[in-house]
Amino acid sequence: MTGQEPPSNPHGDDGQNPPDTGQGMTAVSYLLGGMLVWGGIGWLVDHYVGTKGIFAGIGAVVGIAGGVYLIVRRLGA
Amino acid sequence: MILAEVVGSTAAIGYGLAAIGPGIGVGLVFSAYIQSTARQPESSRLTLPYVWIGFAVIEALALLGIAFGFIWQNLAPNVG
Amino acid sequence: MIGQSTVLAAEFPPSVEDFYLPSILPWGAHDSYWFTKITLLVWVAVALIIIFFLVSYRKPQLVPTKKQWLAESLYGFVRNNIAVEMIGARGVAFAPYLTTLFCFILLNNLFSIVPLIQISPNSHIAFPAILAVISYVMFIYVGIRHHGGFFKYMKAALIPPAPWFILPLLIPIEFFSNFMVRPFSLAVRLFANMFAGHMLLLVFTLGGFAMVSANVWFTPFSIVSWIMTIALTFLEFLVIVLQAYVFTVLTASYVQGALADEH
Repeated sequence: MTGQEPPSNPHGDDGQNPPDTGQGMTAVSYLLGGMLVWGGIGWLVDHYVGTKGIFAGIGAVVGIAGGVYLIVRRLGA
Repeated sequence: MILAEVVGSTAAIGYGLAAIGPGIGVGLVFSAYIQSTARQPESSRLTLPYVWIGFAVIEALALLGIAFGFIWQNLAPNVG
Repeated sequence: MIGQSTVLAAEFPPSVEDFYLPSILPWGAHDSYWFTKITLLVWVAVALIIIFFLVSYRKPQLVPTKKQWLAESLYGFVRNNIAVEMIGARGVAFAPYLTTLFCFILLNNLFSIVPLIQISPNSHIAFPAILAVISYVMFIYVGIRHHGGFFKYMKAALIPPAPWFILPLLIPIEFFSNFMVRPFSLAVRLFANMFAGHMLLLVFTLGGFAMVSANVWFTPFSIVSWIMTIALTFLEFLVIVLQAYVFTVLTASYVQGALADEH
């Protein structure tokens, strides 16, 4: 198979990634990462302020919103 | 007097209920993508970004369901 | 593993302890895991790959011999379908590393279904972890060299196209997802697939023996269990090839992301 030339233009359109570049994994990691990072920050704030879970909840929602926004910007049209 | 009582983890029950909707939703998104690719294969590259947008927005609710189960598990017995 | 089954009935269900193999050097020492069957298998895999590629290229001919054709097919598959497809024309420079990675992971995974070996070194977290660390360091180094500096690469990789006032919200998410989830998920995906596959085969095999040794009338169930083992071995072969391919494709994709210029 090394006798064949590598395809000169493997996709019909140029500039976009092939579909199996792990886009699904990227989407899930943005969602989970957003929730974990901002939920974690919210939990730390909770720990130091002494409330029982409200900041972690707000952090999780904000993190999910950020993750969805990132997916729309990076993987969207 | 107590008429009915649920003991154990209500967070698990809550997550089970919360996962019904997003499960159906994500199935609809991917079924639409597969059907549209079957009808016109050249459009698969064009419609793929919308698959990820739809998946993200729908899955956000399912992930919030499981996150809140963990965050609010230590509140008083008659809350959550 | 065949020898252990005769003393079996106390060992079902299989647990993580079954993955701690007896040490070979010193022979049978307690709690000493420096040189076990796993280490020997990794050395055998490395030796096989080196010897195979060296011998098949000893006298290369224009019309290839069978061994040369096999080596060329492996390299051509990784170069055409993974390196050039993902990274573009510059991918040819990464094709040797990706081929070595693919062959090493595939051979180590294959040890999981070869009879009398039946354990894959990738079912201990150390080996996939080191491979993931090597890929991680490589794509960061390639990114730094392409963009001309550590901070320029961080700026290019971490700033999404968004208005300036929500950037502080998004940059921690990007950092976590690009630089912490990627190596972790590479390692854990390979490790979990190999661990779970081996555990499944153990459950069905040892379960068959446990049922027979509990009550001889359970023999038909044991035979069904052993037929399930054979079917699962074929499924395990599919998982093995797929996991080697996915690890290599994702490494190539991360290198492509590091080499990408503006969207």
